[in-house]
Amino acid sequence: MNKSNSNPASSDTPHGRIAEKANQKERRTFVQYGIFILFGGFYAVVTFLHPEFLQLGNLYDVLIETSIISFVAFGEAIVITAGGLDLSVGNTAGYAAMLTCYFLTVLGYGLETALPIGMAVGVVIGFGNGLMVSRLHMNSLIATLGTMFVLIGFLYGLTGGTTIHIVPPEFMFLGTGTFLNIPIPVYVMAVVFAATYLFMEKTEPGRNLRMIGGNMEACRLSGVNIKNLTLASFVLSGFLSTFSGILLAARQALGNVDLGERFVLEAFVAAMLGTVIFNGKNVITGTLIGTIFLVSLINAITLMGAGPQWMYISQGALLLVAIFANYYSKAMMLKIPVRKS
Amino acid sequence: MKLQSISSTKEIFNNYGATFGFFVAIVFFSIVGKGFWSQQNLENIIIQSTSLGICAFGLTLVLLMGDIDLSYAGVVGLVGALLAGWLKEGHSLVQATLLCMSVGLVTGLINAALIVFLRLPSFLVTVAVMFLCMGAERVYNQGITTWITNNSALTLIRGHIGPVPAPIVYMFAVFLICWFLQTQTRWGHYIRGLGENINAITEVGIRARMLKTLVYVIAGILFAFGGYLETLRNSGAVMYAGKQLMLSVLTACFLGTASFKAGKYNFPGTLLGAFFLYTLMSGFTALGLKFYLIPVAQGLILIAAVAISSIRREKIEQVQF
Repeated sequence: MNKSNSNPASSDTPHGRIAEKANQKERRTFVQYGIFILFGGFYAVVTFLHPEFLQLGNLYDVLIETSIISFVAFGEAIVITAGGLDLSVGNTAGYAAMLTCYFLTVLGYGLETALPIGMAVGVVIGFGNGLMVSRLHMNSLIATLGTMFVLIGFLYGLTGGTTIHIVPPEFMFLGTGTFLNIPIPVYVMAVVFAATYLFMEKTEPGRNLRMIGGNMEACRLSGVNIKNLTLASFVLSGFLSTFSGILLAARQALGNVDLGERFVLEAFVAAMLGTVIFNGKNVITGTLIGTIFLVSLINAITLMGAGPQWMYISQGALLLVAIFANYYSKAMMLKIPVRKS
Repeated sequence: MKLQSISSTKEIFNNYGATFGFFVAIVFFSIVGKGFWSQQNLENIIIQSTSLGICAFGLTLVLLMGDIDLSYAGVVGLVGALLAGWLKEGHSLVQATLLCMSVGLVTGLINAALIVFLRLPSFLVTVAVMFLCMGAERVYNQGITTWITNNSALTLIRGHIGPVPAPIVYMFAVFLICWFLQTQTRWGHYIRGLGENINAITEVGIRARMLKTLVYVIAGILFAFGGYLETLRNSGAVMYAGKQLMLSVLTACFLGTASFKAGKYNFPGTLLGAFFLYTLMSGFTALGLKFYLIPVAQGLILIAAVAISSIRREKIEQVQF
C-alpha cells in the first residue's frame, strides 16, 4: 500500500546499504540543525524588530521564567522518555503550591513544615498516577487526565476558590530573593538540572528508564523491573512539578486555584522540543534548551504587544513543529518504517 | 477461542459495570435527592447531555479506529463564537449554520491531512489543532461573551418537534444514524477493523486512508454540530465553552466501554455515559453538595471506567509519539 515508503536505494547490496546510510545521516542532520536554524532565525528576527529583547532586564525575566517552568518540563521529559505522558503536572504544581500557602497562612505553620508537606503531596499524586499506569495497565494519558480533574476539585475545595494573598516574607524570598545578584529559583534550577541530568545519563535506573521508552519488552526480558521504573518516572514527575508550583507561588506572593494550569502545555511543548533537539539523546539538556526557547517566544509575543490569544496560537504551532520534527527524526534514527495509515 | 461463562460475576461486572452504576445512581438520587425524580428534571438531564452526546459520538467514531481526536475542545468554542458573531452581524441563520458546519469540515480535513497523510500521532496533532482553534476563537471574539437574540435560532433548541423537546430529537437522530451506519453497514465494520488490525483491512483492498479521512471529517462535523447546539442552549458564546466539555466527552466514551462491551467503544454505551454524567451533576445539585465535588466525581468515574476496561490488558500501555 505504501509505495512511497519503499526505499529507492535497495539495501540488498553493500553499495546500496552504504548509500542508504549516508542518505539517512544527511536527512538526520537536516532535522537536527533545522531546529537550531529555526531557533537562530527566531532570535535574529526578534532582536531586529525589538532590540529591547536583549536588554539585561528582559533577559533576567526570561531567565527567571525559564527556571520556574523548567522543573515541570524536566518531569514531563522523564515521563515521556519512559513512554508515558503526564497531564496532571500543572494541577499537581498548583495543588502543592496552594497547600503550602494554606499551611503557611491559614494554619500558621512554619516554612520547615509547609514545604515538605507541599512536596510530599506531589510524590503522593505521582505515586497514584504511577500505580494506575504500571499496575492497572491504564493508558497514562487518560489516567492522568482523571487525576487532573480530581485535583481541580480538590483545589477549589481547599479554599472554596478564593485566593490566598498574605504569605510570609521568608517564603517570598524563595521566589523573589537573590544571592550574588542571581535569583534563587535559578540556583534551584541549576541544582535540579544537574541532579536529573546525572540521574538520566549516568546512573543505571536512568539508563533503564530510557530503555523502557525504546523497547519495553526487550527491557523486561533483560531482567529490568519495568513496573517499578514506570512508577518511579511518574513519582519523579509529580515531585519535580511541585518545585514549579511552589516557586511560582513564592514569586507571585499569592496562591490561586488556576496557578499551575498553564504549566501542562508549556511543559509538554518544552519536553517535546527536548526530545527532538539531540535526536532523542540527552533529553534533559534538550528540555532546558526547549524551555528557554519557549519562554523567549512567549516573551517576544508580549513585547510585540499581541494579546493573550496569540499565546495559544503560537504554542499550538510550536507543538506541531516539535511533533513533526520528533516523529521524522525518530523514524530516521531508529530506521523504523514510517507508520502505516 | 476461549469460551466465556456468562455466570461469572467478574465477567458481568466487566461488561455491564457502568450500566449497573447508572441505575444504582438513578435509584439512589431518586430516593435521597429532593425533586430528582420528576419529568421536568429527567427531561432536563437529557436536554443538557445533547451537545456532549453528539460530540462524544464523533469521538467514539475516531476511537473505534484506534486514534483519538481531542480537537472538539477547540472546535466547540470556535463554532460558538462564529455562530454568535455572525448572527449579531446580521447574517441569516442559514448562512451562520453553513459556516459552522464548514468549520467542522475544515478542522476534520486538517486533522486528516496531518494524521493520515503526514502520519503524525493523532493525540498530539489534535491537541495542537485544539489550541489553534482556541486561539482563533479568542482572536475572533476578543474575549467578549456574545449573546444570541435571533428568535428563529433560539426556537431551534427551545421548540418541540411533536410532543418531544427538539434537542432530544437531534440527539437520538444522530445516535440512531451513527449506530445504524456503524453496526449495520460494511463500511461501519471496516472502521472498527481499522482499529483492530489495520494491515488486514488494507490487505483486503479497502482504501484505509480514504476511510480514515472520512471518519475525521464526519467527526469534525459532529463536533461542530455539538458546539452549535451548545451555543444555542447557552443562548450565547461563552469563552472557551469547549474546555468545559473536554473531560466530560472523553469520560462519556470511556464509560461506554464499561457499559455494554468491556473494553470496546460502542454508541449505546457512549449515549449511556453521557446520561450518566449529567445524572450525577443533577443528583449532586439535588443533594445540595458543593460544586467542586463534581470534577472530583467525574475524574474518579473516568479512572474507574478506564480501570475496568483495561483489566484484561497484561502489559503496560505506552503512549506512542
